[in-house]
Amino acid sequence: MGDIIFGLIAVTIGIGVSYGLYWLLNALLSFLPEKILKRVQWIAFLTPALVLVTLVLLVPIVQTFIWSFMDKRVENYVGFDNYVALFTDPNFLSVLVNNFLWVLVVPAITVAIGTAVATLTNQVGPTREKIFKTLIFMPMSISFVAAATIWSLTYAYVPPGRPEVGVLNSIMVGLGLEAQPWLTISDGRLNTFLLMAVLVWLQVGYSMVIISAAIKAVPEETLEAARLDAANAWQVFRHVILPQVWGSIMAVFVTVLILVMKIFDVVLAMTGGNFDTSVLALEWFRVFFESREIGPASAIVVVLFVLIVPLMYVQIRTVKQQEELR
Amino acid sequence: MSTLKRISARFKLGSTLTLLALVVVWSLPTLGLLITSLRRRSDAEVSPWWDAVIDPLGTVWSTDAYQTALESGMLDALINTFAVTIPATILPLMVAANAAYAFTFLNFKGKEVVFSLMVGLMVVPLQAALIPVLRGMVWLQKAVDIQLLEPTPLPGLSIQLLPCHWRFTSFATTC
Repeated sequence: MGDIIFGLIAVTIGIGVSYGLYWLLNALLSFLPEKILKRVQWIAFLTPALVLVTLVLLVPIVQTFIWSFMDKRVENYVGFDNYVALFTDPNFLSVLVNNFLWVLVVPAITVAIGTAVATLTNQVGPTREKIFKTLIFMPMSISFVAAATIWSLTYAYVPPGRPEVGVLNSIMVGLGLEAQPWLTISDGRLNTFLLMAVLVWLQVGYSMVIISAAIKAVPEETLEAARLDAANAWQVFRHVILPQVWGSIMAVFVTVLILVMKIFDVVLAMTGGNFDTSVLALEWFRVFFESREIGPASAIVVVLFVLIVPLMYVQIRTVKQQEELR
Repeated sequence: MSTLKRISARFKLGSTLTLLALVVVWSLPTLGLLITSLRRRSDAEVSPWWDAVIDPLGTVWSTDAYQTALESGMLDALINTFAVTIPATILPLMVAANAAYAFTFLNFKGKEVVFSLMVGLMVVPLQAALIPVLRGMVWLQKAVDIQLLEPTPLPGLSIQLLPCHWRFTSFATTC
């Protein structure tokens, strides 16, 4: 009970003070004459955001970059040693391959299934549409670690001789095949693909909602015109709907892509990065939290950062395009 | 044949069946978890969860799992969840709404640059900033003598799967 009250007070004070900050900034500026006020008013609105971004993002990123050229306890500069060590380590190269596979597979499949579901639900009438959409969207509200727990029931493996409890292995046994310890099979990166299924399962709901909204916004006249020209359902979708929702599809694609670049929780909770499933973010976690090697950990994160930089450009462009559409 | 076709078209049979199949696949993992949570541990270890669906009367249903979870500190974790979620929802909205107003209605030098910077930084992996931020907190903790990273028993953060909370705090003490 005491905890609840303490938490409540802390939350209230935190929010109250933050609001008060804006109020104070505004009040201070209001003493200025009209002419100057117009020019400096943005300070009141933007300063807190700028200060936060600088303190918890910009400065730390620069710091991390500097640390990536230092040793484990960040006492001496070691030049490019950390990076050389990373790129000559076969384990790290395998991690890069995994990241690459994640990026290649998950966003594409997520967007494809999302588009398919959005198109199909658009055809079946409002009642069924609501039910189907709710059920597909439901995993979105589940945290990554909880999803990993849920899926471990699907991939569960028990030693031979005991009854099967996993869905996948029960199907295998039902088909007369042998049960497999799924998450330990790294041949062809099978276990990584099984982990990807979890993320696709989580993200399709998001992709469906955005794309569905875009499909509903497609003007009826364009569909009508296509039908008058005797276009069949596929042609209507391919040549009329798809071009008009392409912007939304790309926005979803980029969002999922960014998420996948940083993927971490699912892998940690399901395999702990063992059996060749590790990814960059998890590798960073291991080196930093388990080995406490700050320099090498920073180097890993800088590699991840460099890989993400092109996405920053894409992100800025996407947001600006959306701005212009309004 | 033509009647069948007409009925199929009227009820959108193809789309509905496809969606139905997808929804079943999508819901099965969660359903499995729900049913497993309502069974005894000894049962869940030796028989798959759909046995309980096939034979609901022959299954022993129990809420022991929920009781165990509550007793092992789930309530504390729940409080923590709210203590983190509520400010983490309201504060970004507050900061973002104000910033958005500045970007939309006010004119100032370097607006485009700052805007691009903010949007671009959305993409940055948090890990890139975490080590220095953690160190900063430790420094702040020493400077103002408020326990920011006190190793309190927070079962919500140290999920049984991964004792990542103690790692975090034990690191913080040596930082």
